[in-house]
Amino acid sequence: MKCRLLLAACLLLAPACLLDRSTTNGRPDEAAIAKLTPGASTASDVVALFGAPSEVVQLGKRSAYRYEHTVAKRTGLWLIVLGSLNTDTHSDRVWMFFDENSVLTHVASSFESERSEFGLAWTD
Amino acid sequence: MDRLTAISRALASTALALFASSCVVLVFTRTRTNAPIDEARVAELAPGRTTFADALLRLGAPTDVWELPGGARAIAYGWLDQKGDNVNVQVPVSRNFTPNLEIEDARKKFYGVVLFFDESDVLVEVRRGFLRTLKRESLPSADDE
Repeated sequence: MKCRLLLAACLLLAPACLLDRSTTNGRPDEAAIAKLTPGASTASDVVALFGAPSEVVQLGKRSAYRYEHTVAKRTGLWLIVLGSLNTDTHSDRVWMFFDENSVLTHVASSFESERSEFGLAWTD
Repeated sequence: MDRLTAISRALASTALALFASSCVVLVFTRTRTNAPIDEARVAELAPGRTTFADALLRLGAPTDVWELPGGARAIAYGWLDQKGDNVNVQVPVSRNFTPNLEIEDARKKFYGVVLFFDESDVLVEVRRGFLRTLKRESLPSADDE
């Protein structure tokens, strides 16, 4: 009897759950950043190592490339009349800044995509 | 069975069917994008002294970068933590989750910190607020997209 009740509960509740993981773009190669030298590496070197950027920003005569990999984890739970929908998104992001001669001046990186978590809407 | 009873039963059955199929639900939603920036690190920045390189070293990769008049530039660190609870009436036929569109939509609602640098890459000002508004205010034209 207990097994039947448990099975019934599972059948009733399980279809009301949602776990979804979505990603955009490939993860920038963290090790490849060390191969770049501000003042020496060029935009061509960057593209050869990282491929096409997600965004190119013109900053007057200077420019910047953004490489971004995003992980979004979505958790949904519906219990008859109560629902919870939580979306947690974090990114691995690298910005490359170039001078007017397309020589690399600055590199900034943040790798946080692994911080994305499944969870309910009311939890911290 | 009189007509009133029949109507009452029909209404009750319809309500039960809607609730039981989760068509009418009280939905708690939360959308988080990026983690809030460490305020202690922002406090270390000193207008007039901190350089562009210092700022990047302390805060990491910004979420947005844009050009300012006179060859200057601004970088922004934004995040979103949006909570909501509302009663939804929905027909769960299908719903597409398009991460790229949702992320771009979230970017428009980012709250955060913007660092303004002069043409020599020295920090001029630190401002907090909605990034879209701060960006719009810093640009000579209204077109910030």
